[in-house]
Amino acid sequence: MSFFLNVLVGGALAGVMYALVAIGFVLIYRASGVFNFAQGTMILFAALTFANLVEMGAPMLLAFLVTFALLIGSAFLTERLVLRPLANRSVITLFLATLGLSYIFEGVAQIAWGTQVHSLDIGLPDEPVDLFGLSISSFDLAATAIAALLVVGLALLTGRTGLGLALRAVAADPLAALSIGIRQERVTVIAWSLAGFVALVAGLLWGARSGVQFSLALIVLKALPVLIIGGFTSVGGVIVAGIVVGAGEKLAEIFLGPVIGSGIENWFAYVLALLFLMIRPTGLFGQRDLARI
Amino acid sequence: MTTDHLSSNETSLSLTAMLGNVSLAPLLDMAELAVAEGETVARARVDFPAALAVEGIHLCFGGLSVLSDVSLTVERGETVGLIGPNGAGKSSLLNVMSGFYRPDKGKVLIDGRTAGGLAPHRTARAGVVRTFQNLGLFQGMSVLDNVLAGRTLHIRAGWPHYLLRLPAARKEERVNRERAMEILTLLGLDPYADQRAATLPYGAQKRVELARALAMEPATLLLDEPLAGMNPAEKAEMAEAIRAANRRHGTTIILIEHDVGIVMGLSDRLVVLDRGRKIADGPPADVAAMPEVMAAYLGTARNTAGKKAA
Repeated sequence: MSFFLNVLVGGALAGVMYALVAIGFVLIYRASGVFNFAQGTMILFAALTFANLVEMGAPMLLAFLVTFALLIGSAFLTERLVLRPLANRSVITLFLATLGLSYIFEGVAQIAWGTQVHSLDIGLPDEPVDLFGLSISSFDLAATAIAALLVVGLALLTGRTGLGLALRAVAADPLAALSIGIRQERVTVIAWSLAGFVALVAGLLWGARSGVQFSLALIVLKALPVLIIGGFTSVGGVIVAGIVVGAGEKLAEIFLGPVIGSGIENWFAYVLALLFLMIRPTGLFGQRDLARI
Repeated sequence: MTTDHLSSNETSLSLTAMLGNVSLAPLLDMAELAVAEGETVARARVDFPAALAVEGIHLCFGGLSVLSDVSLTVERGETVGLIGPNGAGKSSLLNVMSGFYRPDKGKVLIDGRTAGGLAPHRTARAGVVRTFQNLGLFQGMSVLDNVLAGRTLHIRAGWPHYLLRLPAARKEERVNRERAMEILTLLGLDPYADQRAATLPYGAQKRVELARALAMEPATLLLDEPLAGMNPAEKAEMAEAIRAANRRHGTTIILIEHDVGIVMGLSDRLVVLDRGRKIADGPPADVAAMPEVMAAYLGTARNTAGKKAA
């Protein structure tokens, strides 16, 4: 029993790391209605920039601030050069634009920092900690605490504030948002900057855990099922979904693996997402669209 | 908002009196504008600039001329009804006024200042707020949040205040919420406050849109068919709400409406558009009696006779 609990909790905490990636998608989806394929390479770009700055001798705080400033700058450029010229285009056009954007982020990162793999030490130890009789990774605990802080901060920032209303208004009806004086361009830049901040945090944690390398961009593929299960519009939903996916795949690997063969961890999330698409396409907490016909 | 404008203008007028011809420039500008309008010279000299004016507006979509040479001046506190047959260009004119369409030629003046080519959100910030013919609500948001969104321009405390729940933010939030609830109650929408806008009946959604616009405390309201799709009782209520906004807050109102009885009762002045041109502008009773207006709405007797003869 305690082994089962150990796997469950360990998996759930690891799942928080997936959720951390997925939150960035939710922020942009809610503000622009677009699935931002570039979120993964934003994470890569952030982690690479941070790791190189630290290796060049910059203190961590400075490296963090400089990287964040670069991400805000790229949010401005994205709005001005990609999203504004494509305003009022179909969702698929915007999606393909973000696909192109992901190549730009990747290319710029490669030109600026090369393709070398970096190890990143952000000062979080990874040791087993004894908690209520369970053995848990201290790194996962810290990552969970950071994710929790991030979610609370985002909830406060985008809840009942003017910014929160503006974000939701722009997402719901861009024309109506203009008619009540909301500066759409600014709201978009803020949403992308927030997503950049989330990408930075996710990049640091993932980079510290598995090294800063170009395959970091592929965690998008793990975030996608989490988004489908949690719902594209709900930060809370993707947290729950991340935990479900993390715990589920670990449990399946260990308890089903011996029966149906190993490697379940690689496909479990996708099968679960497929089931959700068939049974509950809006995800756990996604909002259903109502249309009057 | 309106009182701010009034007081600042009063100050500038009394300053003008004190300083003599040194600061007469703004007044002369106004006089010039009035000369251009050709009719209200005497009034503009002593009065405030018009709340909203369009001059010589031309608008084309490809080869189709939608508005040609439309000029219209709306004074502060006036209620102007914009009528005309379908396709006359009424909504297009409203879209030009609110900055959603950029005219090919002509000027839009808000408070006597050129607003030509102003982006929609800046027009709204200048106090000219519109509603949409086909509803522009935030469907997935609650009715209360829709109206609160109209208050975003009145949020002064920065986000750090909100993040840390400081007293300034909490007070502001309470005030905005109270204002929003007042307006909802005024329009009989308070029972719906926590429902999602999309779930309301059409007439109620129209009222939510008006509530959101009123929450912005606009100097000028542009209403595109605010009574469409309502039953007679709802129409009467809505008309009363529009009249109340005009009386109580001195809000200038320009409305497009097809219900002739209601638009005649609400408006100080009727403007008639037909095929992109202004064909009449005057007191409702006079305009309704004009042969050109009847012709635009019903066709002329001669045309009918001619067809029959042929």
